[in-house]
Amino acid sequence: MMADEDEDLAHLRKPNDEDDDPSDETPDFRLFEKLIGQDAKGLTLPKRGDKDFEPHATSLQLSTLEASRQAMHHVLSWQRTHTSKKHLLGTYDPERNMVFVEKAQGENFMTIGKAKGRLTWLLPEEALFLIEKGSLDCRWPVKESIENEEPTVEVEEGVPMSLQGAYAAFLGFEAGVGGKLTLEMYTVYASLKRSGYVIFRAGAWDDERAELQPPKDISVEDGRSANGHGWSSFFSEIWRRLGSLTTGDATKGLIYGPMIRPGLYRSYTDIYRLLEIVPCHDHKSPPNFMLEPNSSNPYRITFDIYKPDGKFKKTNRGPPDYRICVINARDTPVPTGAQLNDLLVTTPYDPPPPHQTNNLYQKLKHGSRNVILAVVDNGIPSYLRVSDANFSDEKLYERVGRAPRGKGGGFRGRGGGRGRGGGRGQGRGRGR
Amino acid sequence: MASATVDSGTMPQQPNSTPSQNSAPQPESALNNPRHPRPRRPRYADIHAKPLPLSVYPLPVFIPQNPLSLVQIAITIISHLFFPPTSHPIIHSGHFSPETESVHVTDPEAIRALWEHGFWGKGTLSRSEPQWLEQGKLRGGNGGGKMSSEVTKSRRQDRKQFKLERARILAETIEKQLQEEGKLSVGVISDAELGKAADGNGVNEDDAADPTDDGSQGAQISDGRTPLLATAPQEDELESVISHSTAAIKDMEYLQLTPEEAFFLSYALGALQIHLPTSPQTPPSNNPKTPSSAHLLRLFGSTTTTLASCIPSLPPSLTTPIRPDTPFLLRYVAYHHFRSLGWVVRPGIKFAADWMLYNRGPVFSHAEFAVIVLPSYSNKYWEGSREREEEGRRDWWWLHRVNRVENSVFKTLVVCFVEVPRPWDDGGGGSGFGEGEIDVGDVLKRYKCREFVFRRWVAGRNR
Repeated sequence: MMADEDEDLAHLRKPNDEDDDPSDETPDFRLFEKLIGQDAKGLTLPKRGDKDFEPHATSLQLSTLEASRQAMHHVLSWQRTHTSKKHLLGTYDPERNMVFVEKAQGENFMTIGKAKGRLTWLLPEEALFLIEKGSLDCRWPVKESIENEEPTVEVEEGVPMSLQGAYAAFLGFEAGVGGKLTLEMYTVYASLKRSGYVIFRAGAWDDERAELQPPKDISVEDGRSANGHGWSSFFSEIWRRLGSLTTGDATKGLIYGPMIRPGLYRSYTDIYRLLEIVPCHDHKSPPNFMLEPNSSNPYRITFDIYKPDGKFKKTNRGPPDYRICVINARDTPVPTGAQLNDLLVTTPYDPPPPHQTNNLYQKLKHGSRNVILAVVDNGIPSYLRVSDANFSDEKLYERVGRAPRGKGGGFRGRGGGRGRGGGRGQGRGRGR
Repeated sequence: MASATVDSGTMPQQPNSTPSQNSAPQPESALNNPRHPRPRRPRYADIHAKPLPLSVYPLPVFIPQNPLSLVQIAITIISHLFFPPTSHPIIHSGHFSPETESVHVTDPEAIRALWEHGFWGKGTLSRSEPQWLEQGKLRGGNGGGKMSSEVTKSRRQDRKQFKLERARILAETIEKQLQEEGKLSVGVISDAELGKAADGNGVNEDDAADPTDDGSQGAQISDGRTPLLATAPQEDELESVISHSTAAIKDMEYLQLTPEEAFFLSYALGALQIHLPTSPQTPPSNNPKTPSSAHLLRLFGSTTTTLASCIPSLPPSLTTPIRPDTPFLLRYVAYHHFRSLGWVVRPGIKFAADWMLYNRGPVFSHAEFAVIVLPSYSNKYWEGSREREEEGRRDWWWLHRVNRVENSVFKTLVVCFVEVPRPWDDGGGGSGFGEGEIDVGDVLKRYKCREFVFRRWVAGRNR
């Protein structure tokens, strides 16, 4: 019964699981309703029901629609309460454009804020997020408390900061090179935070650009030696060199063509090797910047993202799961090759995990370095994963001998489910 | 693509691969179609054993347990020493057609060879594999098989039928509900409406759901049902003529190669000799002129080839020096790059891309990657130039458009940046070559390819 913003896409099949975002859909509130009042433990998100596309005047349809509407009102009218114990009071510090909290408590602070002495400091996006969520009562500073270096107890006397005030105060008022929190960045921060991710600023946002990240420990990755040359192929390699009668000179072929001079070739691999003359990027070479450092370059890593995980520790974060670069879709065009290079060299060398090394397609898609671009258009973020694909490292012609016979196997990353769905059937059953 | 497409015979029965029709009424009749044994499919691994239209002569395998294999190897080496076989047993010939800016191959044997050994070109009367003659013969009643394009057609028809059926059953359910509620006044939902319901999403699906629109249907097997298209009104004149005169059909089809394919076959492999018409008036057969690789490069460089990214550029003429960022060259560099890695590269216009990358070939697997070629002007030479300025003008809506299209046809978007060198063409003379000559190998080595894979990332799916 629910309207669906993806309705126009419904006739296309679901390309793959990753493409399907459950949060894109309107929830079925009838199912949520049942959850209210239940114990918070053991809750699972309800499955969605079927979808009707047009009204067809049956009472059944009308009553279902009405029930759905009622459920939504009921769910939304559920009373949320705050206990005085959990009341969080913070004070705005105009000099640093940050908020300090004296009694930092609650699970929010597992992933937010930085403790310094007896105060916990919140970055603009952290404070704004907590205010928007209703978890933080932020006050404008009282005059006296600023003059005394150490803030005093009169926090409560401050004027409460409105949400509008918070947006006005926290966006775009930071000092330092590129150290400004833009609305786009906050949009991405808040939406990922709401999805459950742990998210921190990458670096201090003060540098002109981040450091180069040279690859480490490359030798492990070289899969070619692992292909296992048997005895016979070892000998045939020797024989190939002995018996190969290359005629004509290669230089002449290169200049005037054909590159492959008529002659005796022992295998197609030999021919392909001769054909490989277009230079390509070497992913294992030390990375380099291609452009001059420029503090206004929008292609820089904005946030480090960690998957939600109970074991996360603020003090010992470890390497992030994703790195994200926030882009304003209207101001910033699609990156050029050089911009992409300069962005990716600041991400760590991240080759495909060992279990992927046999799947050519997965390996290529994973790439050697990757970054997530969050392209924000007026508050709507679209995420793209960009990876440096190593096509030139994967000699397909060497794999052909190992390729599966006939259609239907081998390198297919996505396996089955590739059939054509009947258009409507797909759209109707959104429940998975 | 695995199971689903191969078992195309079962598709009409199970149009939804996701378990999503929990309550939608299923048309029983469509579900219970009898299954016919599927005809044996051609042995593609044998037909397409050669990845290139060249011959290689491997030595016999040495088997340590069998000393005689050494003798075999010795004999082969010696015989090759005295009678060296050639990698180029045949050099095919093609004619450049200035009107279509493509190269035509008309010899039936060359057509077969070029298609079978590396999937080059496209039949002018077919979707990709040249099979117009075979198709015509079958239509004429000589034989009971079906060509791949017909299989697709009948499958589409089946699908349409299935949707009609489903729409009818859905309408019946609603009608029944209405009757139960006592609301039903007038009869039934009209047939026209049903048709509309079934058609509503058919348009896109045909192309979107058909990632193999490039000939891989060859591998898809019919279920042997009578094709519904016997009554289809789209038979054109030509085809009906053929079905009446089955006696001797002249093959009117020829193979057409894109400039990039032709240049690769000619310059890189030496398997194709391209003839030029001396002037547009004289037919190519009268006075064919065989150009050098450099001339071909100039000729193809002056074609109106464009990139899928719609970068505006003026096609250079034959007389002016070739710009280093001529669309033909950028496309060719990417084409050569991927071909030399072993991919079967085919044009990607149907998928909003420059090139599609097939593993082994379209009859074996669907293309997994769709390549968009973009020039990259990061060379110092281009500093402050108009090119570099325009390089950074592509907007995100364009990229998302392309990416969405590729996603919906199960392709992964690969953006291939081709580093554009400083201009290298001084019209000849400067580099010790004759007038108009180009050291093609040297030119290709000045470019540089770098691929990036773009994929949608969904926050809710990656936690």
